Amino acid sequence: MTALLTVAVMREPAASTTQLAKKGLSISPEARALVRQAIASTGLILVRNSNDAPTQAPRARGSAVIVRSDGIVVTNNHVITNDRTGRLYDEMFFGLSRDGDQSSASTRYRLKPLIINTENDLALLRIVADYSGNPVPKSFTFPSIEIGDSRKVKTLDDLFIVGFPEKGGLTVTISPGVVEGKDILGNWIKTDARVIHGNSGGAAVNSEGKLVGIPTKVVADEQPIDTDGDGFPDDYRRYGAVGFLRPSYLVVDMLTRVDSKDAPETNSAAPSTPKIVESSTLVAVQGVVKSSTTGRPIAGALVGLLPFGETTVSESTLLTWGSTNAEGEFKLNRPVPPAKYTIKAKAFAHEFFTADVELRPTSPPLVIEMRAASVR
Amino acid sequence: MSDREGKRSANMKIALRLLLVAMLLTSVATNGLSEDKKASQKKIDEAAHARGLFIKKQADAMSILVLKREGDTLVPVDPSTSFKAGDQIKLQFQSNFEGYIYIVNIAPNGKRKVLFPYPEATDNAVQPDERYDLPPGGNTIEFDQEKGIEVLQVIMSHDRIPYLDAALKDPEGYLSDSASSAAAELQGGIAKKVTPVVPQDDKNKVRSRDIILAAGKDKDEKGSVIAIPDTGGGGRLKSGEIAPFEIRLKHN
Repeated sequence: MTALLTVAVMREPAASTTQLAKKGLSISPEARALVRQAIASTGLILVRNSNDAPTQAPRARGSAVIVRSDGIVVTNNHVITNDRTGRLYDEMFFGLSRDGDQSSASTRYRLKPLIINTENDLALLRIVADYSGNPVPKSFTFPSIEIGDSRKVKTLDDLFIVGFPEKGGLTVTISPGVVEGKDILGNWIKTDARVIHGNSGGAAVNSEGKLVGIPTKVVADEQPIDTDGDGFPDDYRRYGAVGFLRPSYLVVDMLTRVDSKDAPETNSAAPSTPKIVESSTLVAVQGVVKSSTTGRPIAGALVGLLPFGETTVSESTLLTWGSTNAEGEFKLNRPVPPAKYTIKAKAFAHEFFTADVELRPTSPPLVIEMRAASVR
Repeated sequence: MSDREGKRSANMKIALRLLLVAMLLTSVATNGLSEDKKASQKKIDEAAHARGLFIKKQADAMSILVLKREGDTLVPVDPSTSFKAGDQIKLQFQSNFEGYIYIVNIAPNGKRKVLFPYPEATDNAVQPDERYDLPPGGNTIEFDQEKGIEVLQVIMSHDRIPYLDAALKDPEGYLSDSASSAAAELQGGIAKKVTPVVPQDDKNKVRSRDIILAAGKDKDEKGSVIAIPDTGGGGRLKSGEIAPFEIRLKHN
């Protein structure tokens, strides 16, 4: 087969057979069945350039997953971007088969990019035509994956990487693992599930088979080895690797733009320019805290931001924080990606404040009104 | 802010830390001053009531006095005084009950720093009728070039407040300087235990949700007195309760 070639940062498979066997043991038969359903929505991305020789077949670049039944597909931006030129490939194809076997019964479709989020390395594309260029009927229903709530993903939750890794041949490969951690500010979910070349842009699903992340990169711990003692490394030893997934809520955010004027019309197979979005532009969290009864500013109030729905305040859940000055004004100590969060505030002689907020780059300063604690 | 007096004192280090906090005394955080004469009279009555509670120890209360350096002496100043760069002040406070006093500075940028206790004087237990100087000895707090309003938050309690004590681990005494300390403060139960003290008049009607901070008379001519009203708990702070008030310092 044509080599799968994504640019994820990795060099070789990491997990041992023993480890993988151990990972799979805790999965119930029901969960396995649900995870397997993701196979039907996950396909292979292939690309061509217009100046390629006519005889040159499209080259496999990575994985993608259908996130809407009308043919919206998500993958990584780096999967559809030429590494050398930094430009999108001229032609993009999506290979899909119900059983995940690309070698025989797969159907190939033409894709058109809709929205690209360069900062988060994500791209939404629409299936617009079959391989020959015949438009896909609007009534056609593609097998889409259900998008899960990535904000609810917790450490050590089961996780499965579904895709077409370069070393996995032409059939789909599922790698089990767990959520090793979350980097809320960096917009990452970390996993020990094997993520290698070709997995980029595919699906990371939970035990309900719902999409919670997009495998995007791997960071490996590799140390140089000087075998001949000449002072120069002759080899590298790999001590481990962490797979990084973009959380699925970013995909949801991008999907909301598809039906808006942000995205170009894409019913035809004619070339169009995708909308480049910066949805991950960080938001500086600032505002004012005041008394709900008197309206006066509250000085010295501590304000903290937690992941959406988080109830426990701890060193690991507190994303950013700050306290108010004499005018009740605050600016939290670091910006955050636009998203929903839970905000908490505490001040002497006032009731504890907690609320859910959605932060956008265009959001006005927050106004937190705290009630005076009840009088004895 | 710098410490001009520090060089003369063995407590220079203490003062230096304290002097990092710029303070401008503007007003006492009570109700806004009314221009109406009637309201003014009411305030005088309230102040007298507060002083009475303090002096007679009918309520857990404390007095706080702001002194400004004038030449070689320290003189009491009105809290509404506007300060300028180079002005030096000292706080004197006195409690009428056995408990704990915390003083937190809130800088114009919102950064908070515990002034009292401080690393060299970690025991902030106060005894009735004993006078405490902040900073101690001949040290003073000097205003630097940064203009704005700084707040002195004074907290009275019968118990230690763990997260404020924890700030002493920070060499500069800053609060919520790390994620762990901020989380500890946000999840701590202190705020829930707070019962704001409500001054009441002779007819026992609530007049304010704030603690009364009245202008002093007699010896503390321009100082202030904080008093706990004679309500509910008999004007006494219960265990787990705190009584905070603010002094706002304006630097023009």
